[in-house]
Amino acid sequence: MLRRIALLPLFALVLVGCGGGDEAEDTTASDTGAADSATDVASEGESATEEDSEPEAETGSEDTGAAAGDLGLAEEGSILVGSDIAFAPFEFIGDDGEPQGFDIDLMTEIADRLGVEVEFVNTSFDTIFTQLASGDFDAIISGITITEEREQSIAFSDPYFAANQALAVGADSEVTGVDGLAGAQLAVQAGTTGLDYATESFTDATIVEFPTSEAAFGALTSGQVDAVFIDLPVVAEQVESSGGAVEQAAEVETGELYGIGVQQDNTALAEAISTELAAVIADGTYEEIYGTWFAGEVPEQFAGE
Amino acid sequence: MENLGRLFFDVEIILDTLPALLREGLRNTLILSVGAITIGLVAGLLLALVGISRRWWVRLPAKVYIDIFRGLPAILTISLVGLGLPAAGLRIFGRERLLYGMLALGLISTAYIAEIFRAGIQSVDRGQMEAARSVGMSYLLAMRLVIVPQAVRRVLPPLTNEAIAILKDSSLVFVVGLAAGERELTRVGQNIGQQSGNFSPYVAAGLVYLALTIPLTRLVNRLDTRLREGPSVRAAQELPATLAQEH
Repeated sequence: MLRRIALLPLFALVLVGCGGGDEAEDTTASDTGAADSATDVASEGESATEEDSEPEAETGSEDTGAAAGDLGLAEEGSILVGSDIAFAPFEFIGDDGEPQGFDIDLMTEIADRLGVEVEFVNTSFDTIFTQLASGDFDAIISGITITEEREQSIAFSDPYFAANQALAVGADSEVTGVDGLAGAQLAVQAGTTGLDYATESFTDATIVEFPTSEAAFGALTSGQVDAVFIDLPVVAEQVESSGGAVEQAAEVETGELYGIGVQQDNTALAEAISTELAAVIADGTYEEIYGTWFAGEVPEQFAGE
Repeated sequence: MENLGRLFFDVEIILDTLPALLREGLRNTLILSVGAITIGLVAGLLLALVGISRRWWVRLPAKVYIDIFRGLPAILTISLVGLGLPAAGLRIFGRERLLYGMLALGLISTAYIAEIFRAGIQSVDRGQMEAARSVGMSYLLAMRLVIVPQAVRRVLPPLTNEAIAILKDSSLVFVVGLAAGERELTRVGQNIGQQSGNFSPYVAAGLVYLALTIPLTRLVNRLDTRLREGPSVRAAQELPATLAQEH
């Protein structure tokens, strides 16, 4: 009984939150000229939830409150960032239970410069785009390749990382390159560009979809699949951390660029993020963060001036 | 509201999704659930019989098993079986991921069905066993011919509920990784939904589940009524053979 009473306000809160979100979504989608009223509805809807985290939001937005208000954030002074936090070294849950990684550090740095608190929400990669589009997050950072298809439903900041795809195999595997995949079981992560590429190019392999990169590599090390096809930096990380159990068999030049995703109509936030990103690159902070997570030189396009 | 209709109930998208749902999704969902429930029925009955033993050391393993598999979230059991067993070198089904999923669901349903059978058997009046034993039947023979047939009738409604629960839980099997052709209903709906940015494929998948579960629920209700009120006069006239077997 006691527990039921304690939960009641929570339910009420959730209901209010949902109602506000839906209304906002309705307005934006049915009437393109109604961006203003959509923001109004959103801030009204959130006012109930805001009480919950008032002290935090206030301290975060005190000095730059005006600037932050222009960013179209669901909750002023705080940016809610969706990420599939199972993609080391870009994002993963550290030993302390907190999100870590290159994307996490970069996003935190950008949010700091925007004068807003950053909060990461762990979500599934293959639903991350629809969740962003429906207003679950203000932004997403998750090693996301900028593609035309994705740009139909969301908007991206300027690129912040260049990556190719790679083929990872177990030690002593018979698969030594992308030519040897006939009849092999190839693990990919659901919703990724790696899946799209593999489906198109490796037609004689059986493509097996896993919900996370961790699950895909787990299946590789337990011998349930012959290879994993995923972003090169993730393969490199697995090769290093697996102690010889995982090897890189091939690199596939795809020239993909990662971007930070925002809602399609929120150009203000995309521009603000791109501006801060350029500053982070220019003053060498990018290089510093890069050095924490990757070996080797920073690619020229992201090196400081 | 208009937007809601477009996002959730786009008839065109629903109709486009149905072939893939029925061909691939429904087939795999049924393979998973029917397989799991078959495992559950056989192993669950055995476990129930073990679980009502008078000797505590016979009862104990059954009790421990039921406690564990009824108490774990299905997704955890599926991960342990589908990802854990192969990792431990126990590749009992090679790379047939659906079979690992089926086994995991079967282990879960075994625990629930064992409890259903146990309750059913114990609900049969003690006097039945005493009477059967007094005419010279062994314990096992009395169980087989007298107690279990009566118990089975009583447990049909809860068993149908369990079938519905397993049918729905089969959607969790995606955690072990599914290749094209292996996806069950939810996964097919989700894939198409994510590609189209519309939720109608999810709704379409939901409709297929409902087409399975609602008739099953109705069946439970009818069984339940029939068990309480006895067969109707018409049914009694139409099915004398069945009745003769039951009595």
